Amino acid sequence: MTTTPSTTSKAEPAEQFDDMTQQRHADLMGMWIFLATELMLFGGVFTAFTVYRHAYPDAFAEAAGHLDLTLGTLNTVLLVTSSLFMALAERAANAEQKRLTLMFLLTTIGIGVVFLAIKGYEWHHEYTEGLMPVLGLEFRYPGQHPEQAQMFFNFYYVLTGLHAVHMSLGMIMLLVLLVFTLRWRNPPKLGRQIQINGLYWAFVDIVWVFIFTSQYLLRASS
Amino acid sequence: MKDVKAPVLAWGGYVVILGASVAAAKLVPGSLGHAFSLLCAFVMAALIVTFFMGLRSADNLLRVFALAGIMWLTFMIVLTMADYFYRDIKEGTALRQDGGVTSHHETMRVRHAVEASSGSPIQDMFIGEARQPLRHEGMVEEFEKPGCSYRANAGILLPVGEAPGLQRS
Repeated sequence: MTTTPSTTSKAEPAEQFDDMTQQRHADLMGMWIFLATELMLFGGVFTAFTVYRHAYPDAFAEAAGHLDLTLGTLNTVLLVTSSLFMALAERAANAEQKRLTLMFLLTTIGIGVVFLAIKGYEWHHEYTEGLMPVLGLEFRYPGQHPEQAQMFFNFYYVLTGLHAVHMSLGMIMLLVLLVFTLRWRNPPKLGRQIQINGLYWAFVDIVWVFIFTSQYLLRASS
Repeated sequence: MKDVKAPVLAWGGYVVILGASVAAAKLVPGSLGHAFSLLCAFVMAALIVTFFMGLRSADNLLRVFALAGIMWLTFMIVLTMADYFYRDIKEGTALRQDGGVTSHHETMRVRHAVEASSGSPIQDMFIGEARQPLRHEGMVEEFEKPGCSYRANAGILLPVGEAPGLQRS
């Protein structure tokens, strides 16, 4: 465990703030407000899904049974593990431990890559099965309610696609943080940046929890 | 590093709850299993918010903002669904002209049949539970199905007679 002392570790607030406490509160408040707008973005899709899930319960439950529950569960475990490492990276940065911070950030990014790879594999599998009714692709559904199932899969691709975009953006931000960590110029500031990005990453995890539950778990029992 | 134990324990709790949720989805049929899975989702989200997003140690104003987001989302879903529950709309249903509901799939099937036969799209359509045969001038098509017949009139479709498959749910 290597501790790299900082040459500029004394935290100075930006000029519009009285002190660091006020600046930290403003940082967190801004991020939570942003996350509230993100919640409304996903919330609209989830509300529409709830309406149709209520209208076509049997068809949606049957369609959910065509998703790979094992891969979905694996991805859920992976994402919460990445959130854990993100939280640990924040603590390592606040403890000014460069090596640990780097290691935790790299692990978080690595798990994110694996998550997206598994998701991509799932999409490819569904494409080969004819269960991808997007971009004019033929929809070959083997169940009893093909029209309603098509609606289910439309929701599935909108939700998982939107989530994957958020994951990708989060990983780009984590790569930037990785570069900042390698430079290690202002550890207190880096700690705050990692904390703010950690909020975003955890939010993406929460969204996935509800995507996983609504798309994979609310299925007809076999 | 400080305060590492809490997030690690939260991760362990999350994985256990996830396992229970997946098991319920496989083993418990119907609404009970679905309700349990949804409950597990809320608990897992609460673990993330509390331990990974630092709401446990956040000041009260921040907690209010976090709860406000959840509150507005809850309002949106509850008020939207209240309409559907109030109107008693069930699976695959559409509003009938008498305020009841009928099968949406059946509605669309008949509509497509009328459009294919007449060669022109229907601008508007109602399906009602007629208590006696309806007669209108200008009826152009008639369609039969067991227990029910439909007549198309200038784009307005009316069923005639009893329709066992179209009873109020």
